Amino acid sequence: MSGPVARPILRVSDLEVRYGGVPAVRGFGFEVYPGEVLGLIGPNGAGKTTTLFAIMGILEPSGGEIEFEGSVINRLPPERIARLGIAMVPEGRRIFSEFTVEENVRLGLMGRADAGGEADDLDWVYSMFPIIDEFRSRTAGQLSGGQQQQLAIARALVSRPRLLLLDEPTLGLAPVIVDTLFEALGQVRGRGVSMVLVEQRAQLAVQFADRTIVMRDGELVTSLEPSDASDADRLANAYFGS
Amino acid sequence: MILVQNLIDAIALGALFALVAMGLGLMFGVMRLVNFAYGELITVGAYTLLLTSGQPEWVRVVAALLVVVVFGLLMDVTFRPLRLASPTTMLIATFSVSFLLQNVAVLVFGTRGEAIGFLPVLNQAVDIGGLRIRWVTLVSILIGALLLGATSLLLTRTTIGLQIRAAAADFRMARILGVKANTVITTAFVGAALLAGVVSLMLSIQRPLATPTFGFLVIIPALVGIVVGGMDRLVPATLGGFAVGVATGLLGNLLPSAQRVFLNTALFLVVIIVLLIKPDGLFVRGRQTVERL
Repeated sequence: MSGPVARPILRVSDLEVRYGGVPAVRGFGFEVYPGEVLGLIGPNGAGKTTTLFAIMGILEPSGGEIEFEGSVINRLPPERIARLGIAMVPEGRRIFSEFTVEENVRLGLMGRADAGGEADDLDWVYSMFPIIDEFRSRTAGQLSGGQQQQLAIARALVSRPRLLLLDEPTLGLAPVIVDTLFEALGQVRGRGVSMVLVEQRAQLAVQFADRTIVMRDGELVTSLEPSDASDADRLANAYFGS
Repeated sequence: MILVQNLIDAIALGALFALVAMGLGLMFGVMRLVNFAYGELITVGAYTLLLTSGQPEWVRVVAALLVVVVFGLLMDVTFRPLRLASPTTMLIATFSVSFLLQNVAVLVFGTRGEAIGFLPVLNQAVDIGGLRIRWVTLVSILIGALLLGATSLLLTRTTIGLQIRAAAADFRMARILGVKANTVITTAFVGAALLAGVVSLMLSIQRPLATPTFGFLVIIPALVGIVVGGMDRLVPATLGGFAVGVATGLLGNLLPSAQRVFLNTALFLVVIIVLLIKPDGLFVRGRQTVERL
């Protein structure tokens, strides 16, 4: 899938993001290739969410460049970036709890670049998450945590993104639900959707991703391969520093 | 009998206040903006009717609605850059615009008030089963109900409505999903301005004197209604506006005329009590636990 000859779908270079005067991300850079799943792990406060926010256009970088499919997107607002083909499942899901499940999914359609194929994508998403299909007319706030997470992913996918940003999708979920979720993410990968997966379950992320980068204090520390997942020492060292 | 008649009058006033509350609620929803200058949109409508007197009534109606919408769009442009400013900044900004417009009206038209003379025929009373009810009362109730219904249909049944509600609930997430911030805000302002325009038509029949504080006097009790009802939800806010309108109407009619000066005192006393007992609003149910520390 990935390879040195392919052109990256996302290229982040020398990214710098500040909160007030304080840099949260400094000189961070990476690339995601078409169809690739990139894991992004690191301790709390490393700047992972900040990086995703910068890509999505929620935070404006103070330096560096974010390129999606060859064009610079640094200064675009989130609604434009969504239409370019990037979708995000934010930490804490951020579903609209007072709306119905179906309304939540329909809101995901706003980020589509074209109206064609809407029905196909809705079918695909509903068939991937049967429970979401079944509970369409329920109020989203009534769903369990795992179901809400599925809804958040379904909502992101109906816009048919080519790049999916996932921020801590398993946070607070029971192991059995985590399995279901990753099964679904496997299907998403099967469709050729590229992903950036921020995940605190480091082992899980390293296993699932084609490649995982480790971030600490706003900077890139190291890069891991799936085979590193079984090497506990290597993981711990990468994560916390030796 | 007199009580029923008072009640019907009060409901008509409630309907107008509900429209005002809904307009305020729309703008608050998408911008977290308490727009004190909303009252001036109503004033602008009344003065447009005044300036077009002599024209056919339908021309005056169209002109008033158009001018109000244009002023609504101007307010949108003025307040939009403040979207991410602190609530205090926004509040003071809307106050400033409100007083600015009131003072411009004083300069141009004076404080004395001028007769609008819009559809005076609707002030005639009709006899319904022994009740003497003015036409404007019936029209206000009817149009109020129609517009409230239409607005809620727009919000619940259309895509732009869904986007407005989403923006009101979580603006950032809505934008991540592709909801266009500018479209949503402009739509909400135009909708709110149209509601203000209609209120201004109805009020100009009932209170046929255009003054610089024509709308401001309505906005204050409507804001009270929103706070009493529940600020950040459109339906409770609208119900609050309705309740305050009805209460004002009833008290105004029931109190002996010597005591009418105490009307606002009584109203604000009720508000303070409501806020002490239910700070989130009278019509808001099932809130999360309040953190005490």
